[in-house]
Amino acid sequence: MSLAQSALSSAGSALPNNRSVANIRNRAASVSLVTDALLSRAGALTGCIVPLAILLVWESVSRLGWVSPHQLPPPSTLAETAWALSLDGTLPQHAWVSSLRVVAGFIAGATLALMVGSLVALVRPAERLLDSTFQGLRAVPSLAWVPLLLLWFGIDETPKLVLIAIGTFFPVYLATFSGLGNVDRKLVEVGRQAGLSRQSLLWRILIPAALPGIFTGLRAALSLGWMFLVAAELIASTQGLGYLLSDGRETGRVDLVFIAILSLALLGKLSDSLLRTIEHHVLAWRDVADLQETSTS
Amino acid sequence: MTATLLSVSLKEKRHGARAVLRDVAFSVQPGEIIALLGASGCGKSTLLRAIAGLDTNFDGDIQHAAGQTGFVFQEPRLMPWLSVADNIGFPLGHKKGRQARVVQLLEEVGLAHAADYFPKQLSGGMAQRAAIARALVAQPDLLLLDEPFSALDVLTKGRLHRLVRDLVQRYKVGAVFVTHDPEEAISLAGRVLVMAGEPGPFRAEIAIPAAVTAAVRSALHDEIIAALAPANVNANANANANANRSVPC
Repeated sequence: MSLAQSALSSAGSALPNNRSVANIRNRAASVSLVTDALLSRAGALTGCIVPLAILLVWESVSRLGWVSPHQLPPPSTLAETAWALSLDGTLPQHAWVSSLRVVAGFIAGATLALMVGSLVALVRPAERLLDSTFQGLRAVPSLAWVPLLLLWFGIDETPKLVLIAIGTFFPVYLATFSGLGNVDRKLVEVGRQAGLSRQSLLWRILIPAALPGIFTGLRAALSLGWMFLVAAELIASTQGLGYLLSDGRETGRVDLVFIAILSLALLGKLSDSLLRTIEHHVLAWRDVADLQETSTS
Repeated sequence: MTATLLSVSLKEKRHGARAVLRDVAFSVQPGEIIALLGASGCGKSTLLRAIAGLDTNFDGDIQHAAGQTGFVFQEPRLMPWLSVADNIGFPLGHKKGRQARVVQLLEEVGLAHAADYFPKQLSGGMAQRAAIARALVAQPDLLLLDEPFSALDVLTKGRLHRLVRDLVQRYKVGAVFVTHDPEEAISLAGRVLVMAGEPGPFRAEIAIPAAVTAAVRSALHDEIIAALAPANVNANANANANANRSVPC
Protein backbone atom coordinates (compact mmCIF):
# COMPACT_ATOMS: atom_id res chain seq x y z
CA MET A 1 0.00 0.00 0.00
CA SER A 2 2.82 2.39 0.77
CA LEU A 3 4.04 1.74 -2.75
CA ALA A 4 0.68 2.76 -4.15
CA GLN A 5 0.69 5.88 -2.06
CA SER A 6 4.15 6.93 -3.12
CA ALA A 7 3.19 6.35 -6.75
CA LEU A 8 0.20 8.56 -6.14
CA SER A 9 2.07 11.43 -4.58
CA SER A 10 4.80 11.35 -7.19
CA ALA A 11 2.17 11.47 -9.94
CA GLY A 12 0.69 14.48 -8.18
CA SER A 13 3.94 16.37 -7.65
CA ALA A 14 4.94 15.94 -11.28
CA LEU A 15 2.02 18.06 -12.33
CA PRO A 16 1.85 21.85 -12.49
CA ASN A 17 0.23 22.77 -9.23
CA ASN A 18 -1.65 25.99 -9.92
CA ARG A 19 -5.02 24.59 -10.64
CA SER A 20 -4.92 21.78 -8.15
CA VAL A 21 -4.07 24.32 -5.47
CA ALA A 22 -7.03 26.42 -6.56
CA ASN A 23 -9.18 23.32 -6.55
CA ILE A 24 -8.12 22.55 -3.06
CA ARG A 25 -8.82 26.06 -1.89
CA ASN A 26 -12.32 25.91 -3.30
CA ARG A 27 -13.08 22.77 -1.40
CA ALA A 28 -12.73 22.00 2.25
CA ALA A 29 -9.08 21.11 2.76
CA SER A 30 -9.49 17.61 4.09
CA VAL A 31 -6.98 14.97 3.06
CA SER A 32 -9.44 12.91 1.06
CA LEU A 33 -10.40 15.96 -0.94
CA VAL A 34 -6.75 16.73 -1.64
CA THR A 35 -6.18 13.31 -3.16
CA ASP A 36 -9.48 13.76 -4.95
CA ALA A 37 -8.21 16.98 -6.50
CA LEU A 38 -4.93 15.38 -7.45
CA LEU A 39 -6.78 12.47 -9.02
CA SER A 40 -9.06 14.67 -11.06
CA ARG A 41 -6.11 16.83 -12.09
CA ALA A 42 -4.22 13.77 -13.23
CA GLY A 43 -7.11 13.02 -15.60
CA ALA A 44 -6.05 10.37 -18.07
CA LEU A 45 -3.23 9.20 -15.82
CA THR A 46 -5.72 8.19 -13.14
CA GLY A 47 -6.53 5.00 -14.99
CA CYS A 48 -2.87 3.92 -14.75
CA ILE A 49 -2.67 4.06 -10.97
CA VAL A 50 -4.23 0.68 -10.23
CA PRO A 51 -2.30 -1.24 -12.92
CA LEU A 52 0.95 0.40 -11.77
CA ALA A 53 0.26 -0.50 -8.17
CA ILE A 54 -0.50 -4.09 -9.17
CA LEU A 55 2.76 -4.26 -11.12
CA LEU A 56 4.75 -3.01 -8.14
CA VAL A 57 3.16 -5.48 -5.72
CA TRP A 58 3.57 -8.29 -8.24
CA GLU A 59 7.23 -7.53 -8.82
CA SER A 60 8.03 -7.43 -5.13
CA VAL A 61 6.07 -10.61 -4.38
CA SER A 62 8.05 -12.47 -7.08
CA ARG A 63 11.38 -10.95 -6.07
CA LEU A 64 10.82 -11.84 -2.43
CA GLY A 65 10.34 -15.43 -3.54
CA TRP A 66 6.82 -15.70 -2.11
CA VAL A 67 5.65 -17.38 -5.31
CA SER A 68 7.59 -19.46 -7.77
CA PRO A 69 8.73 -17.52 -10.86
CA HIS A 70 7.58 -20.54 -12.90
CA GLN A 71 4.04 -19.83 -11.89
CA LEU A 72 4.16 -16.08 -11.62
CA PRO A 73 7.17 -14.55 -13.33
CA PRO A 74 7.87 -11.00 -12.17
CA PRO A 75 6.88 -8.17 -14.51
CA SER A 76 10.53 -7.41 -15.18
CA THR A 77 11.03 -10.89 -16.64
CA LEU A 78 7.86 -10.47 -18.67
CA ALA A 79 9.15 -7.16 -19.96
CA GLU A 80 12.41 -8.75 -20.98
CA THR A 81 10.65 -11.59 -22.83
CA ALA A 82 8.25 -9.16 -24.45
CA TRP A 83 11.14 -6.98 -25.53
CA ALA A 84 12.98 -9.94 -27.03
CA LEU A 85 9.84 -11.19 -28.79
CA SER A 86 9.22 -7.70 -30.14
CA LEU A 87 12.77 -7.33 -31.43
CA ASP A 88 12.67 -10.59 -33.37
CA GLY A 89 9.22 -9.64 -34.70
CA THR A 90 7.35 -12.60 -33.19
CA LEU A 91 5.02 -10.67 -30.91
CA PRO A 92 4.09 -7.95 -33.42
CA GLN A 93 3.46 -10.68 -35.98
CA HIS A 94 1.09 -12.59 -33.65
CA ALA A 95 -0.66 -9.39 -32.62
CA TRP A 96 -1.02 -8.29 -36.23
CA VAL A 97 -2.47 -11.62 -37.38
CA SER A 98 -4.95 -11.65 -34.50
CA SER A 99 -6.00 -8.05 -35.09
CA LEU A 100 -6.59 -8.70 -38.77
CA ARG A 101 -8.77 -11.69 -37.93
CA VAL A 102 -10.84 -9.72 -35.45
CA VAL A 103 -11.22 -6.78 -37.82
CA ALA A 104 -12.19 -8.97 -40.78
CA GLY A 105 -14.61 -11.11 -38.77
CA PHE A 106 -16.08 -8.07 -37.03
CA ILE A 107 -16.63 -6.18 -40.28
CA ALA A 108 -18.24 -9.20 -41.93
CA GLY A 109 -20.45 -10.05 -38.97
CA ALA A 110 -21.44 -6.47 -38.19
CA THR A 111 -22.20 -5.57 -41.80
CA LEU A 112 -24.38 -8.61 -42.24
CA ALA A 113 -26.09 -7.91 -38.91
CA LEU A 114 -26.78 -4.29 -39.89
CA MET A 115 -28.39 -5.40 -43.12
CA VAL A 116 -30.40 -8.29 -41.70
CA GLY A 117 -31.35 -6.29 -38.62
CA SER A 118 -32.67 -3.41 -40.74
CA LEU A 119 -34.56 -5.80 -42.98
CA VAL A 120 -36.19 -7.59 -40.06
CA ALA A 121 -37.01 -4.31 -38.31
CA LEU A 122 -38.47 -2.58 -41.35
CA VAL A 123 -40.23 -5.27 -43.33
CA ARG A 124 -43.00 -6.97 -41.42
CA PRO A 125 -42.99 -10.25 -43.42
CA ALA A 126 -39.25 -10.49 -42.85
CA GLU A 127 -39.74 -10.06 -39.12
CA ARG A 128 -42.36 -12.80 -39.01
CA LEU A 129 -40.21 -15.02 -41.18
CA LEU A 130 -36.79 -14.50 -39.65
CA ASP A 131 -36.85 -13.09 -36.15
CA SER A 132 -37.80 -16.26 -34.29
CA THR A 133 -35.15 -18.16 -36.23
CA PHE A 134 -32.49 -15.67 -35.22
CA GLN A 135 -33.67 -15.71 -31.62
CA GLY A 136 -33.23 -19.48 -31.71
CA LEU A 137 -29.80 -19.32 -33.27
CA ARG A 138 -28.79 -16.67 -30.78
CA ALA A 139 -29.52 -19.09 -27.97
CA VAL A 140 -26.76 -21.39 -29.26
CA PRO A 141 -23.55 -20.56 -27.38
CA SER A 142 -21.31 -19.44 -30.21
CA LEU A 143 -18.50 -21.80 -29.19
CA ALA A 144 -20.82 -24.70 -29.96
CA TRP A 145 -20.29 -23.86 -33.62
CA VAL A 146 -16.58 -24.61 -33.42
CA PRO A 147 -16.68 -28.36 -34.19
CA LEU A 148 -19.09 -27.76 -37.05
CA LEU A 149 -16.94 -25.00 -38.47
CA LEU A 150 -13.83 -27.16 -38.24
CA LEU A 151 -15.61 -29.99 -40.04
CA TRP A 152 -16.89 -27.70 -42.73
CA PHE A 153 -13.99 -25.36 -43.30
CA GLY A 154 -10.97 -27.28 -42.08
CA ILE A 155 -8.43 -25.56 -39.86
CA ASP A 156 -7.76 -22.67 -42.20
CA GLU A 157 -8.48 -18.98 -41.74
CA THR A 158 -12.10 -19.49 -42.77
CA PRO A 159 -13.50 -21.17 -39.64
CA LYS A 160 -11.82 -18.54 -37.44
CA LEU A 161 -13.29 -15.66 -39.40
CA VAL A 162 -16.71 -17.31 -39.53
CA LEU A 163 -16.68 -17.92 -35.79
CA ILE A 164 -15.79 -14.28 -35.07
CA ALA A 165 -18.42 -13.16 -37.56
CA ILE A 166 -21.05 -15.31 -35.84
CA GLY A 167 -20.03 -13.96 -32.46
CA THR A 168 -20.25 -10.34 -33.59
CA PHE A 169 -23.42 -10.82 -35.60
CA PHE A 170 -25.90 -11.22 -32.77
CA PRO A 171 -25.18 -8.17 -30.61
CA VAL A 172 -25.25 -5.94 -33.70
CA TYR A 173 -28.36 -7.65 -35.05
CA LEU A 174 -30.20 -7.15 -31.77
CA ALA A 175 -29.06 -3.54 -31.42
CA THR A 176 -30.08 -2.70 -34.98
CA PHE A 177 -33.41 -4.46 -34.70
CA SER A 178 -34.39 -2.84 -31.43
CA GLY A 179 -32.78 0.50 -32.31
CA LEU A 180 -34.83 0.83 -35.47
CA GLY A 181 -37.93 -0.49 -33.74
CA ASN A 182 -37.72 2.15 -31.02
CA VAL A 183 -37.38 5.26 -33.16
CA ASP A 184 -39.64 8.04 -31.89
CA ARG A 185 -42.89 7.97 -33.85
CA LYS A 186 -42.94 11.76 -33.69
CA LEU A 187 -39.76 12.12 -35.71
CA VAL A 188 -40.97 9.60 -38.27
CA GLU A 189 -44.13 11.66 -38.62
CA VAL A 190 -42.07 14.75 -39.44
CA GLY A 191 -40.50 12.78 -42.27
CA ARG A 192 -43.80 11.49 -43.56
CA GLN A 193 -45.24 14.98 -43.42
CA ALA A 194 -42.29 16.25 -45.46
CA GLY A 195 -43.14 13.61 -48.04
CA LEU A 196 -40.03 11.45 -47.60
CA SER A 197 -39.85 8.18 -49.51
CA ARG A 198 -39.38 4.96 -47.56
CA GLN A 199 -35.73 4.97 -48.49
CA SER A 200 -35.03 8.54 -47.40
CA LEU A 201 -37.02 7.89 -44.25
CA LEU A 202 -34.62 5.05 -43.51
CA TRP A 203 -31.44 7.00 -44.24
CA ARG A 204 -32.44 10.39 -42.92
CA ILE A 205 -34.45 9.51 -39.83
CA LEU A 206 -34.49 5.86 -38.81
CA ILE A 207 -30.77 5.10 -39.05
CA PRO A 208 -29.51 8.31 -37.40
CA ALA A 209 -32.06 7.87 -34.63
CA ALA A 210 -31.04 4.24 -34.10
CA LEU A 211 -27.30 4.98 -34.15
CA PRO A 212 -26.77 5.34 -30.38
CA GLY A 213 -28.17 1.84 -29.84
CA ILE A 214 -26.30 0.43 -32.81
CA PHE A 215 -23.01 1.77 -31.46
CA THR A 216 -23.61 0.08 -28.14
CA GLY A 217 -24.15 -3.15 -30.06
CA LEU A 218 -21.00 -2.61 -32.10
CA ARG A 219 -18.88 -2.13 -29.01
CA ALA A 220 -20.29 -5.23 -27.36
CA ALA A 221 -19.69 -7.13 -30.59
CA LEU A 222 -16.09 -6.01 -30.86
CA SER A 223 -15.20 -7.29 -27.43
CA LEU A 224 -16.98 -10.56 -28.22
CA GLY A 225 -14.92 -10.67 -31.40
CA TRP A 226 -11.72 -10.79 -29.32
CA MET A 227 -13.23 -13.51 -27.19
CA PHE A 228 -14.04 -15.71 -30.15
CA LEU A 229 -10.68 -14.97 -31.70
CA VAL A 230 -8.97 -16.55 -28.70
CA ALA A 231 -11.32 -19.53 -28.81
CA ALA A 232 -10.63 -20.08 -32.49
CA GLU A 233 -6.88 -19.64 -32.15
CA LEU A 234 -6.61 -21.85 -29.08
CA ILE A 235 -8.13 -24.74 -30.97
CA ALA A 236 -6.18 -24.74 -34.18
CA SER A 237 -3.69 -22.17 -35.34
CA THR A 238 -0.01 -21.57 -35.92
CA GLN A 239 -0.14 -17.81 -35.52
CA GLY A 240 -1.86 -15.26 -33.39
CA LEU A 241 -2.12 -14.43 -29.70
CA GLY A 242 -4.33 -17.45 -29.04
CA TYR A 243 -1.59 -19.61 -30.49
CA LEU A 244 0.91 -17.88 -28.24
CA LEU A 245 -1.32 -18.78 -25.29
CA SER A 246 -1.50 -22.47 -26.14
CA ASP A 247 2.17 -22.55 -27.13
CA GLY A 248 3.12 -21.09 -23.77
CA ARG A 249 0.98 -23.65 -21.98
CA GLU A 250 2.41 -26.60 -23.91
CA THR A 251 6.02 -25.53 -23.44
CA GLY A 252 5.52 -24.52 -19.83
CA ARG A 253 6.41 -20.89 -20.61
CA VAL A 254 4.19 -18.96 -18.23
CA ASP A 255 5.78 -15.73 -19.41
CA LEU A 256 4.44 -16.32 -22.93
CA VAL A 257 0.95 -16.90 -21.54
CA PHE A 258 1.17 -13.69 -19.56
CA ILE A 259 2.43 -11.73 -22.52
CA ALA A 260 -0.39 -13.03 -24.69
CA ILE A 261 -2.95 -12.11 -22.04
CA LEU A 262 -1.50 -8.63 -21.63
CA SER A 263 -1.39 -8.12 -25.39
CA LEU A 264 -5.03 -9.16 -25.64
CA ALA A 265 -5.94 -6.74 -22.88
CA LEU A 266 -4.04 -3.97 -24.61
CA LEU A 267 -5.46 -4.63 -28.08
CA GLY A 268 -8.99 -5.09 -26.77
CA LYS A 269 -8.78 -1.83 -24.89
CA LEU A 270 -7.22 -0.06 -27.86
CA SER A 271 -9.87 -1.22 -30.33
CA ASP A 272 -12.66 -0.30 -27.93
CA SER A 273 -11.17 3.15 -27.41
CA LEU A 274 -10.98 3.60 -31.15
CA LEU A 275 -14.63 2.67 -31.57
CA ARG A 276 -15.54 4.88 -28.64
CA THR A 277 -13.75 7.83 -30.19
CA ILE A 278 -15.67 7.30 -33.40
CA GLU A 279 -18.90 6.96 -31.42
CA HIS A 280 -18.19 10.13 -29.50
CA HIS A 281 -17.58 11.98 -32.73
CA VAL A 282 -20.57 10.61 -34.63
CA LEU A 283 -22.97 11.00 -31.71
CA ALA A 284 -21.86 14.45 -30.58
CA TRP A 285 -25.46 15.57 -30.95
CA ARG A 286 -26.71 13.30 -28.18
CA ASP A 287 -28.39 15.10 -25.30
CA VAL A 288 -27.25 12.96 -22.41
CA ALA A 289 -26.70 13.65 -18.75
CA ASP A 290 -23.15 13.37 -17.47
CA LEU A 291 -23.96 11.04 -14.58
CA GLN A 292 -20.50 11.26 -13.03
CA GLU A 293 -20.58 15.04 -13.17
CA THR A 294 -23.87 15.18 -11.30
CA SER A 295 -22.87 12.59 -8.75
CA THR A 296 -19.60 14.25 -7.68
CA SER A 297 -20.66 17.89 -7.71
CA MET B 1 -61.20 37.39 -55.74
CA THR B 2 -58.76 34.82 -54.41
CA ALA B 3 -59.10 31.12 -54.99
CA THR B 4 -59.98 28.98 -52.01
CA LEU B 5 -56.86 27.33 -50.67
CA LEU B 6 -58.42 24.59 -48.68
CA SER B 7 -61.92 23.35 -48.33
CA VAL B 8 -62.79 20.78 -45.73
CA SER B 9 -66.00 18.89 -45.68
CA LEU B 10 -65.59 16.02 -43.29
CA LYS B 11 -68.57 13.78 -42.65
CA GLU B 12 -67.21 11.52 -39.97
CA LYS B 13 -63.99 10.41 -38.37
CA ARG B 14 -63.95 7.58 -35.88
CA HIS B 15 -61.42 6.22 -33.46
CA GLY B 16 -62.64 2.65 -33.26
CA ALA B 17 -66.29 2.72 -32.35
CA ARG B 18 -66.23 6.31 -31.10
CA ALA B 19 -66.96 9.18 -33.45
CA VAL B 20 -64.44 11.97 -32.98
CA LEU B 21 -65.54 14.38 -35.70
CA ARG B 22 -68.84 14.77 -37.47
CA ASP B 23 -70.07 17.23 -40.11
CA VAL B 24 -67.16 19.60 -39.95
CA ALA B 25 -66.88 22.05 -42.82
CA PHE B 26 -64.84 25.17 -43.45
CA SER B 27 -62.54 26.72 -45.99
CA VAL B 28 -59.35 28.76 -45.93
CA GLN B 29 -58.31 31.62 -48.20
CA PRO B 30 -54.70 32.63 -48.86
CA GLY B 31 -53.35 34.99 -46.20
CA GLU B 32 -55.99 33.95 -43.71
CA ILE B 33 -55.31 32.57 -40.24
CA ILE B 34 -57.91 30.27 -38.76
CA ALA B 35 -58.03 29.04 -35.20
CA LEU B 36 -59.58 25.72 -34.26
CA LEU B 37 -60.45 26.27 -30.64
CA GLY B 38 -61.64 23.77 -28.09
CA ALA B 39 -60.73 21.88 -24.96
CA SER B 40 -58.30 18.98 -25.09
CA GLY B 41 -59.63 15.84 -26.66
CA CYS B 42 -62.40 17.25 -28.80
CA GLY B 43 -60.81 16.32 -32.09
CA LYS B 44 -59.00 19.53 -33.04
CA SER B 45 -55.68 17.81 -33.58
CA THR B 46 -57.35 14.90 -35.33
CA LEU B 47 -58.91 17.35 -37.74
CA LEU B 48 -55.57 19.03 -38.36
CA ARG B 49 -53.86 15.70 -38.97
CA ALA B 50 -56.55 14.77 -41.45
CA ILE B 51 -55.96 18.03 -43.29
CA ALA B 52 -52.21 17.38 -43.29
CA GLY B 53 -52.74 13.96 -44.79
CA LEU B 54 -51.14 12.28 -41.77
CA ASP B 55 -54.43 10.51 -41.23
CA THR B 56 -56.40 9.42 -44.27
CA ASN B 57 -58.87 7.13 -42.58
CA PHE B 58 -62.00 9.30 -42.52
CA ASP B 59 -65.24 9.80 -44.35
CA GLY B 60 -65.47 13.07 -46.21
CA ASP B 61 -63.63 15.32 -48.54
CA ILE B 62 -60.63 17.55 -48.02
CA GLN B 63 -59.65 19.61 -51.03
CA HIS B 64 -56.32 21.31 -50.99
CA ALA B 65 -55.52 23.39 -54.06
CA ALA B 66 -52.36 21.70 -55.29
CA GLY B 67 -49.55 22.84 -53.09
CA GLN B 68 -47.25 22.07 -50.22
CA THR B 69 -48.31 21.87 -46.62
CA GLY B 70 -46.09 22.91 -43.75
CA PHE B 71 -46.80 21.41 -40.36
CA VAL B 72 -45.72 22.70 -36.96
CA PHE B 73 -46.20 20.11 -34.26
CA GLN B 74 -46.93 20.70 -30.62
CA GLU B 75 -43.31 19.90 -29.81
CA PRO B 76 -40.54 21.20 -32.06
CA ARG B 77 -39.63 17.68 -33.20
CA LEU B 78 -36.24 18.70 -34.51
CA MET B 79 -33.87 15.93 -35.55
CA PRO B 80 -31.39 15.89 -32.66
CA TRP B 81 -28.50 14.84 -34.94
CA LEU B 82 -28.88 17.79 -37.34
CA SER B 83 -27.76 21.37 -36.81
CA VAL B 84 -30.47 24.00 -36.61
CA ALA B 85 -29.79 25.03 -40.21
CA ASP B 86 -29.95 21.45 -41.49
CA ASN B 87 -33.13 20.92 -39.51
CA ILE B 88 -34.76 23.90 -41.15
CA GLY B 89 -33.58 22.62 -44.53
CA PHE B 90 -34.79 19.11 -43.74
CA PRO B 91 -37.80 19.07 -46.10
CA LEU B 92 -35.52 20.19 -48.95
CA GLY B 93 -33.17 17.25 -48.61
CA HIS B 94 -30.13 16.00 -46.78
CA LYS B 95 -27.83 18.69 -45.31
CA LYS B 96 -29.49 21.60 -47.06
CA GLY B 97 -28.65 24.06 -44.29
CA ARG B 98 -26.53 26.28 -46.55
CA GLN B 99 -29.24 27.02 -49.08
CA ALA B 100 -30.22 30.66 -49.51
CA ARG B 101 -33.80 29.89 -48.52
CA VAL B 102 -32.67 28.42 -45.22
CA VAL B 103 -30.29 31.30 -44.51
CA GLN B 104 -33.10 33.75 -45.13
CA LEU B 105 -35.50 31.91 -42.84
CA LEU B 106 -32.85 31.66 -40.13
CA GLU B 107 -32.63 35.42 -40.31
CA GLU B 108 -36.40 35.86 -40.24
CA VAL B 109 -36.97 33.72 -37.18
CA GLY B 110 -33.95 35.24 -35.42
CA LEU B 111 -31.80 32.14 -35.33
CA ALA B 112 -28.98 33.24 -37.63
CA HIS B 113 -26.53 33.10 -34.72
CA ALA B 114 -27.63 29.56 -33.83
CA ALA B 115 -27.41 28.03 -37.31
CA ASP B 116 -24.77 25.51 -36.27
CA TYR B 117 -26.20 24.61 -32.88
CA PHE B 118 -27.57 21.19 -32.16
CA PRO B 119 -31.19 21.11 -30.95
CA LYS B 120 -30.02 20.17 -27.45
CA GLN B 121 -28.47 23.64 -27.17
CA LEU B 122 -31.74 25.48 -27.89
CA SER B 123 -34.33 26.90 -25.54
CA GLY B 124 -37.94 25.88 -26.04
CA GLY B 125 -38.77 29.10 -27.87
CA MET B 126 -35.75 28.84 -30.16
CA ALA B 127 -36.57 25.24 -31.00
CA GLN B 128 -40.15 26.12 -31.83
CA ARG B 129 -38.96 28.99 -34.04
CA ALA B 130 -36.74 26.53 -35.88
CA ALA B 131 -39.75 24.24 -36.30
CA ILE B 132 -41.79 27.10 -37.76
CA ALA B 133 -38.97 27.94 -40.16
CA ARG B 134 -38.77 24.28 -41.18
CA ALA B 135 -42.49 24.24 -41.91
CA LEU B 136 -42.06 27.24 -44.21
CA VAL B 137 -38.89 26.19 -46.01
CA ALA B 138 -40.51 24.22 -48.81
CA GLN B 139 -42.65 27.26 -49.63
CA PRO B 140 -45.98 25.76 -48.61
CA ASP B 141 -49.19 27.57 -49.39
CA LEU B 142 -50.82 26.14 -46.29
CA LEU B 143 -49.38 26.18 -42.80
CA LEU B 144 -50.85 23.88 -40.15
CA LEU B 145 -49.94 24.42 -36.50
CA ASP B 146 -50.92 22.01 -33.74
CA GLU B 147 -50.87 23.93 -30.44
CA PRO B 148 -47.37 25.08 -31.30
CA PHE B 149 -47.11 27.66 -28.52
CA SER B 150 -48.72 25.80 -25.64
CA ALA B 151 -45.44 25.00 -23.91
CA LEU B 152 -43.97 28.49 -24.15
CA ASP B 153 -43.95 31.41 -21.76
CA VAL B 154 -46.14 34.45 -22.39
CA LEU B 155 -43.38 36.68 -23.78
CA THR B 156 -42.09 34.08 -26.21
CA LYS B 157 -45.64 33.27 -27.19
CA GLY B 158 -46.35 36.91 -28.07
CA ARG B 159 -43.17 37.15 -30.11
CA LEU B 160 -43.97 33.97 -32.02
CA HIS B 161 -47.54 35.16 -32.70
CA ARG B 162 -46.10 38.26 -34.33
CA LEU B 163 -43.63 36.10 -36.25
CA VAL B 164 -46.31 33.79 -37.59
CA ARG B 165 -48.53 36.73 -38.55
CA ASP B 166 -45.66 38.39 -40.41
CA LEU B 167 -44.66 35.21 -42.20
CA VAL B 168 -48.23 34.44 -43.23
CA GLN B 169 -48.53 37.97 -44.62
CA ARG B 170 -45.20 37.89 -46.39
CA TYR B 171 -45.57 34.49 -48.00
CA LYS B 172 -49.33 34.74 -48.58
CA VAL B 173 -49.97 31.35 -47.09
CA GLY B 174 -53.12 30.23 -45.37
CA ALA B 175 -52.77 28.99 -41.84
CA VAL B 176 -54.85 26.78 -39.61
CA PHE B 177 -53.85 26.49 -35.99
CA VAL B 178 -55.17 24.52 -33.12
CA THR B 179 -55.39 26.04 -29.67
CA HIS B 180 -57.27 25.73 -26.41
CA ASP B 181 -56.55 29.32 -25.43
CA PRO B 182 -59.18 31.95 -26.37
CA GLU B 183 -56.63 34.77 -25.89
CA GLU B 184 -54.28 33.15 -28.35
CA ALA B 185 -57.09 32.61 -30.86
CA ILE B 186 -58.10 36.26 -30.65
CA SER B 187 -54.60 37.62 -30.94
CA LEU B 188 -53.52 35.45 -33.83
CA ALA B 189 -56.51 34.36 -35.89
CA GLY B 190 -58.78 36.16 -38.35
CA ARG B 191 -61.49 33.62 -37.74
CA VAL B 192 -62.09 31.35 -34.76
CA LEU B 193 -63.93 28.06 -35.16
CA VAL B 194 -65.14 26.74 -31.83
CA MET B 195 -65.43 23.03 -31.19
CA ALA B 196 -66.96 21.53 -28.05
CA GLY B 197 -69.07 18.75 -26.70
CA GLU B 198 -70.33 15.90 -28.84
CA PRO B 199 -68.80 15.56 -32.28
CA GLY B 200 -70.75 17.83 -34.56
CA PRO B 201 -70.61 21.06 -36.54
CA PHE B 202 -68.61 23.97 -35.12
CA ARG B 203 -70.33 25.58 -32.14
CA ALA B 204 -69.53 29.01 -33.41
CA GLU B 205 -67.59 30.79 -36.06
CA ILE B 206 -66.29 34.11 -34.84
CA ALA B 207 -64.57 36.67 -37.04
CA ILE B 208 -61.84 38.64 -35.35
CA PRO B 209 -61.59 42.23 -36.59
CA ALA B 210 -58.19 43.44 -37.69
CA ALA B 211 -57.81 45.97 -34.88
CA VAL B 212 -58.99 44.58 -31.58
CA THR B 213 -59.60 47.06 -28.77
CA ALA B 214 -59.67 46.00 -25.16
CA ALA B 215 -63.44 46.15 -25.07
CA VAL B 216 -63.79 44.14 -28.25
CA ARG B 217 -61.28 41.64 -26.97
CA SER B 218 -63.22 41.01 -23.81
CA ALA B 219 -66.50 40.71 -25.75
CA LEU B 220 -64.89 38.20 -28.10
CA HIS B 221 -63.52 36.32 -25.14
CA ASP B 222 -66.99 36.08 -23.60
CA GLU B 223 -68.44 34.94 -26.89
CA ILE B 224 -65.88 32.15 -27.19
CA ILE B 225 -66.40 31.03 -23.61
CA ALA B 226 -70.15 30.96 -24.16
CA ALA B 227 -69.71 28.84 -27.28
CA LEU B 228 -67.39 26.48 -25.40
CA ALA B 229 -69.84 25.93 -22.57
CA PRO B 230 -71.70 22.60 -22.43
CA ALA B 231 -74.60 22.56 -24.87
CA ASN B 232 -77.29 22.14 -22.21
CA VAL B 233 -76.44 25.44 -20.57
CA ASN B 234 -75.69 27.19 -23.83
CA ALA B 235 -78.64 29.44 -24.71
CA ASN B 236 -78.18 29.17 -28.45
CA ALA B 237 -77.12 25.55 -28.61
CA ASN B 238 -77.33 24.10 -32.05
CA ALA B 239 -80.47 22.19 -31.08
CA ASN B 240 -78.46 19.03 -30.89
CA ALA B 241 -80.68 16.03 -30.21
CA ASN B 242 -78.02 14.66 -27.93
CA ALA B 243 -77.66 17.89 -26.05
CA ASN B 244 -78.55 16.39 -22.68
CA ARG B 245 -75.85 13.78 -22.87
CA SER B 246 -73.22 16.10 -24.12
CA VAL B 247 -70.27 16.97 -21.94
CA PRO B 248 -67.46 19.36 -22.61
CA CYS B 249 -64.72 17.27 -24.12
